[in-house]
Amino acid sequence: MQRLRRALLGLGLLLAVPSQAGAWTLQYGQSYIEQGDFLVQPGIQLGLLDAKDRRYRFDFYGRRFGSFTEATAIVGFDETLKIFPWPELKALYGLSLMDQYIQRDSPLAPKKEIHSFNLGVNLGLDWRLLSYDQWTLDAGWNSHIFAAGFAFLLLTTARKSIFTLSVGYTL
Amino acid sequence: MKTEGPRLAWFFRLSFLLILTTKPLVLSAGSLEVVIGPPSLGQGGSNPVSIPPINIIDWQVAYVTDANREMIFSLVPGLFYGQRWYLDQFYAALDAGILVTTSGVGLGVAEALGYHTGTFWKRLRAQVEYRQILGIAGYGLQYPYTLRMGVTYEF
Repeated sequence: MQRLRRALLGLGLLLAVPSQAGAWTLQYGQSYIEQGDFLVQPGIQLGLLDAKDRRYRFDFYGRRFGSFTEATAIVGFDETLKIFPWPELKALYGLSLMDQYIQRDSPLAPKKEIHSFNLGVNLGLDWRLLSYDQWTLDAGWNSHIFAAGFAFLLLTTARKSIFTLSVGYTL
Repeated sequence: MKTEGPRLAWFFRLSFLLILTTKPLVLSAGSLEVVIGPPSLGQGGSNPVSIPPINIIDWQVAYVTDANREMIFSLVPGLFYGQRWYLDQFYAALDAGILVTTSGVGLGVAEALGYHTGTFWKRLRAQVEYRQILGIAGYGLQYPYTLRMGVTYEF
């Protein structure tokens, strides 16, 4: 309870700081991740946008099925490419680090868990739907592409495609 | 494998025929791009590129006009038409067209990000392109993508 109070106090102080034009923007989004199994998994996205439109993003989704727990976390850093004639639409490119975690917890076998890390790139689009006062609403279509080991020499890749709708607040 | 070579040849013949039939566009300057790379056929990642590169699904031909309108001809993800924008040697494109995947034929929209090198041999440039598509086909929503490399000829 104490930790929660401190966290809320910290957040309140942060929001109370007078906002400056072009300051940091916090984003929280609902995302849907397509990762190659004909399913679209719901997840969350947390983002931090700086004054130069550089983004730091954290995507997370997880599920439990039977004795297995699966969680995927992707940390990404994006630069904005202002290439389109509409200022609301931006192309993004950057680097991604993914951690895929799988745990087996069954009474029939010893507990086992693995972390699988992958470094890749991300490319995508961001569309600012709405901007009001310090609030923003963005839609994103972003793909994180990872090399499939040495098979990348033959252009073999894996991809996580993420569709996001996020609300932002500029500090 | 025996039929791959002739299929590829027919693919190029059909692509050039489609380009030639759009006479007003052919008369204007532009560029012709030929890139190769394995597509994601339906869902998930891609298989290795064919060696030798005679598998028709790995190939893409694009015709870009001097107004930066692009026409994409490929077996996967299909036939697309759209607009390209350049920033130095990078480009981004937005397209719409006919989506072709292992789930059948449908409609889709595409977004591409690519890079051209400087010119060599007067009119050639090397190129790398990532293209992601969102569409609907026989089994519902599809999200194929391609990562392809190749050559651009400017005329």
